[in-house]
Amino acid sequence: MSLHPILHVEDSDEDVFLVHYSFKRAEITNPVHVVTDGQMAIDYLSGAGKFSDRTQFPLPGLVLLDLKLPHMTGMEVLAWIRQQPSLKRLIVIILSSSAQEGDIMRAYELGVNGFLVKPADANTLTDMCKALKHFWLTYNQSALEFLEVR
Amino acid sequence: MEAPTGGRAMRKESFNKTATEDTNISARRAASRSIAHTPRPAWLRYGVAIISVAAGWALRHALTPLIGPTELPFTVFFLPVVVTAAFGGGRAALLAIVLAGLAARWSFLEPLHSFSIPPWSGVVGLLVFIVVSLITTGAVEKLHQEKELLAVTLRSIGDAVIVTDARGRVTFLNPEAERLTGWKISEAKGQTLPAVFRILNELTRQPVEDPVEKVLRLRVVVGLGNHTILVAKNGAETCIDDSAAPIRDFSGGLVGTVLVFRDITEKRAAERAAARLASIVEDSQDAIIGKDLKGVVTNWNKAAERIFGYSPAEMVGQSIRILVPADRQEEEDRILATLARGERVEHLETIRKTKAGREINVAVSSSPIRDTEGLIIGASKIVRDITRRKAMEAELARVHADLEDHARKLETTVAERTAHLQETIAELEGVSYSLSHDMRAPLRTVQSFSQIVLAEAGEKLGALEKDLLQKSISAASRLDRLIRDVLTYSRVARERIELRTIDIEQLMRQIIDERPDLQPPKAEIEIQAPLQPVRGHEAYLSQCISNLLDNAVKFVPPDQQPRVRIWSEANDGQVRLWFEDNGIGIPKEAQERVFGLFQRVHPEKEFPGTGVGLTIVRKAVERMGGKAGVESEPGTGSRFWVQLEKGEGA
Repeated sequence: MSLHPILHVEDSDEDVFLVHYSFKRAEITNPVHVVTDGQMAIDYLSGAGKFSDRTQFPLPGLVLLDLKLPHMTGMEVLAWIRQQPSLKRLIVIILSSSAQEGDIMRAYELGVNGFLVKPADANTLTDMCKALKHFWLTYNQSALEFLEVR
Repeated sequence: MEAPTGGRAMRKESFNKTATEDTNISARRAASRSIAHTPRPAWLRYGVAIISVAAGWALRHALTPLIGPTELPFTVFFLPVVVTAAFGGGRAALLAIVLAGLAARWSFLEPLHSFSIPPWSGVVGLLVFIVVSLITTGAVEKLHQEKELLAVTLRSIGDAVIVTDARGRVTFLNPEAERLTGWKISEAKGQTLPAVFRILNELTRQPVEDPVEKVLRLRVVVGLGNHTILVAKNGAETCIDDSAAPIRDFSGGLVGTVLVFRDITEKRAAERAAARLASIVEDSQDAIIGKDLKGVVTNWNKAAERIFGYSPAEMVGQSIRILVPADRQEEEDRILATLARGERVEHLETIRKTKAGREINVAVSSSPIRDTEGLIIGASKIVRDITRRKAMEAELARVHADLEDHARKLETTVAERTAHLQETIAELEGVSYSLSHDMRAPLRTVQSFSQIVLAEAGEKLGALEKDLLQKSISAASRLDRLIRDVLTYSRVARERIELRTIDIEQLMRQIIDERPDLQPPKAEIEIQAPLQPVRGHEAYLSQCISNLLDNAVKFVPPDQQPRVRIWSEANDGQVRLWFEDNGIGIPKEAQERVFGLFQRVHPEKEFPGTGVGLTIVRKAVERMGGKAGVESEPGTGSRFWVQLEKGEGA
């Protein structure tokens, strides 16, 4: 199982709490770094400003990205990631409040790896996190290992 | 009726003559020919000389017993000479003189019965006889000739002549007078003039005063007024003009009157036609101008005066060029050249100048005028003032431009409104976006946090607290579903979709396969295959089918297994899809209401729902060009239907 950190991009404290609570229930033990807006996400990923220390803020193995964010939307962050040569293979899962057709279409066009809709039910969220753990953190082969070797 | 032959040459085409007028002329000519003087034959004239002399001889013999054999040998013979001269003319009279001289010498001069020279007194008598006879013959013949001339003149002149005596009784009518009055001279003689010469005023139709009576009274020449009509014996009417004059003898005594009159019917008709024409020309709204080939004005009507401001006196004799603006003089050259070639100028729209110097728009038509020989002697010109028309055309063009301008503005307005509408739609999309993101987030928090509290602290909570948390959870969940439904509805109402043929049967089976709650033992759904394909939109159709099936299995009494039967009907290019359930049914009065937004017929507690499902169905079907409805009987179930256009290959 990959123990690379998870970068959680989410501006809502409640949702941060819910997701972390569900991670705990789903027994996800990876370190989780939270950033609360799009610009911070980019800063973290590019190691800019206060995120320059890679030992303290290592590159994540998975980005959990909300769409509706201050300053910069999740979609813009996704587009930016896919334009970066060193980041374009990063696993990015969108965790959105709603399943707007336009958002889903656009996200896949930009190369997202998955699109999840936040369920209203806490138990469903826990189930979703369990599935995430099994698929993305356990069975899925990410490209990160090869990048680090290089 | 004799045809008019010979005489003066007539150019038929130059006279617009009626058949009646032709008849008049030929009748008159025939009359004048019948009265032409025909001389008596020579044998008659000379015969008269011989017989009258013989008669004179016999008479002298008869007188012998009274006057003796040789007295007055010549006197009696003056009679035959005069008679012969009067009847047979000069030459016959000469014969009579010779014969009478010979007869008198033979029979009544010494020596009797001899042609020897008589004694001196006899020679003198013979010479006196011959001289007196010749003088008499000359006088008689002159008189005769004058009388003949007068008669022929009276007969042959075109004017009618009636002569009366001093009492006003008709003594003579010439043939023209006979024709016009309808009286023969033989009938008319001795009649009073008013009987023969009946005249009326043409306008009042009142009898006109007898001119002869007036002449006799006033002893002066009088003329009739204009507009006099002569009524003939047979009632035919003729327009005439006339004069009547007294006839006096040498001593100045009045011996009669002569009335001369003339048929002016043709002249009056021509005058009337000319007057009519003149009045038409004069009263025309268009300027009618006559000009010669040099452009000198010969005629100028009222409209010309009105349009150009020049009076006829100012224009006639002047060049038409004073009406032509300086920069168009060469146009007048072209017009005159065209006319000189005998061609017309048709509706030339140009500009002319008035007396006041104002330039006006005119339409000019001009055609050549020919004389009776066909030579072009000038031109008639019709000028219409089209300034107003031009102004109206300009006005029309302006209105048209305004209209176009208006249309353009309208287009702009439409474009602006469309843009505005699109903006509104965009805003609406923004609203629904934030609705889906921002409104659902707090709900999620309420629901999830309540669940977490329930899970983490369940044992520490009492039954009431647990129940309240549970209610919070389900309320939030219900509100979340409502939001999702409204979002679906607004999407269905707003989105642009394209229609294509959908295999409804396959779509239906797919939906049922994915939904355990639509499968036994939860529900029994029977599809009566085949279902006709329809024209629609797959996502919309599957939304409709899901909602209808949800309802069909939901609104069923708790102890009953939902049973749904689905079939299709094709009719007139349309397919109607039926969904029959065994549910609780819908009362008649609520059957239309169930399609309204947020409308619920049954209590939320018994049958949870948002009241949006059927609204979405109807809106989606309408967006696909179809209709949706329901037939229902409370207690026995409902039959919902969706009608759409038939798909291809159906």
